[in-house]
Amino acid sequence: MVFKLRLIVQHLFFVLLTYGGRFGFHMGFALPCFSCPFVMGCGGSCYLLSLQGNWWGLQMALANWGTVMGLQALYYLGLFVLLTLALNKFWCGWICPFGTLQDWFTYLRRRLGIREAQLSWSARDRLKPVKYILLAYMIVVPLLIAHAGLHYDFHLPFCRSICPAKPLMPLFAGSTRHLALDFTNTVTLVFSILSVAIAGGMLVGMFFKERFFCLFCPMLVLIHLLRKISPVRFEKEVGACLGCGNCRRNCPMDIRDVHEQKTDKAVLSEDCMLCMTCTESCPADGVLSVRFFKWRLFSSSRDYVARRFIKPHKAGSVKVKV
Amino acid sequence: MASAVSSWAADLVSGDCPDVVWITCGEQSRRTDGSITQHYWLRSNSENRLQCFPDLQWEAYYRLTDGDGLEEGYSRAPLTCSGGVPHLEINCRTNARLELTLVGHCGGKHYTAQLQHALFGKASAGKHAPSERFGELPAGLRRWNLKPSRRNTYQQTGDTYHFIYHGNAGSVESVSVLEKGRRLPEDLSLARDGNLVYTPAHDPHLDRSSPYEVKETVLLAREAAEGREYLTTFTLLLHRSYSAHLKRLHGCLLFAGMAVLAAGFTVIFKRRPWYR
Repeated sequence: MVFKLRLIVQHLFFVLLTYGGRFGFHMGFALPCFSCPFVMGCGGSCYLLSLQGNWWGLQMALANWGTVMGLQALYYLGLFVLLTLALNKFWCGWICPFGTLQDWFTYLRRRLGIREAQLSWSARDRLKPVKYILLAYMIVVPLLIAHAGLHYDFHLPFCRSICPAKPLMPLFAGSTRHLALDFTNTVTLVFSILSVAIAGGMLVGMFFKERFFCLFCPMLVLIHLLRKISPVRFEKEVGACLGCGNCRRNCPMDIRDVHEQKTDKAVLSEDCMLCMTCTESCPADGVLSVRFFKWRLFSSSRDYVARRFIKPHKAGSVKVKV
Repeated sequence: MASAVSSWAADLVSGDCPDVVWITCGEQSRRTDGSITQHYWLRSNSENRLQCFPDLQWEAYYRLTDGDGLEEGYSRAPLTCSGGVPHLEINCRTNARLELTLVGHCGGKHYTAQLQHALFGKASAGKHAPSERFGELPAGLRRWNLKPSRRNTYQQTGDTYHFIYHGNAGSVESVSVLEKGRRLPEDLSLARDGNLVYTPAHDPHLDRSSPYEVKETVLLAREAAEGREYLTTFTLLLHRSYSAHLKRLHGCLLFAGMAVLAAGFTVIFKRRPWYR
């Protein structure tokens, strides 16, 4: 079962990326997922930190481009591109520790019998540009520090003022440091207020809405930029689609594109995290499939849906799981 | 930074030899291989008379400690004269902690100037290349030993530093702190066994500036023994405190408040019933 496999992989990576550094395991500083480097002893670091840090460093001295500093920035960028190409959105749905944390909240909500909050389509459309704005924020601010004399405390602007992973993820390593307000000066205070307030709001958002933070995640934008050259494909046999709408109803990210796509084969949309819930719930044989190069990793099937969602209950009757 | 200390210290000049000599950090430059070169200057309270210390004999020893542990023995670095001021530079390939000790004497005065701080070289591999291997520091050298902090890479205001004075603690006349922005030195008391505990105060100016900004604070011990005067300084390069201004309770209250507010907002603007 894909669902169970995903659960195992998610938890394995959560442990590796949160505690791996304590045992000498480190996947580097260019991971395309929210593996927070502010977690002491983490097993890998989110690329967004390198992006902000290196970008600023290089801007501070353009002469650095030809030096080992420039090579380091290129190395991180290259590694990020390679990792993204290799697994694309699998990083989001299968590996991202912060995504796993969000899934825990969803599990808790379901166990409590609370319905998921719904966002209107217009609200979702209005939220779409936010992730681009955040990406611009983390690129423009370092430029302003380097060239316009902006105070250095604006360094790592996204991590230190927006990202909810920074206050929340270190809690798993027993650190409450990043939940504190920093009264050192006005900039640090404003940044820490923003960071803690956003984390508080996001926590509730993650509880009521599945993968709430992913709606704003700038990493999704970066990963999505490379989708066309990635060997990871999510495809739809449009001619064979029954139009049942299961894919739309079951999608944790409320993506409509897969259901509504009538012409194009490629249906990997910006918000998709390749959790394959839609593929699992599609009752038409081979309509939805996830491929790596030409190899089919998983595709929808009528039998799978029957096994996954309809289980024998008693002799002579069936129990519908969903 | 250094001039602020030297301006008041100039009042302390006595005789032909300076009263206070300390190390200051100059600029850093990064080489194309990623290693870092740090420049150091030797300052005194009588800069106009020192002029590269024509009457002084100086020797510089340093030791780099990286992730592999303490490097065995000290290396020597050549002291040059640059713009009339004694100067030396040390190249560091990887992330390491530098212990720098300068030893000199003038007339009946014996000087030791020390400094410890972290250097962040980014060269991929290879050992630091010392100019000359040397064994240990000269025997009987008056010096400070700063117990290394396991918590912080940078020296910070508000942290407590434990020093041990290696010398005859009973003959120490005074221990003072020379700090930027302070007109008069702060006097400290040295225990009979040579232990000294010093907690530098927070500096609002430092708090407002960049986290990489440093304040030079010099610890000075004067010892008189066997007709000689021993003047031992240790330069602390203090950064602003990274943890003293953190208020966890305020943060947790804000976090909880925001969560309640968001939950209330979500419930009020719900689009369908919550329970199935």
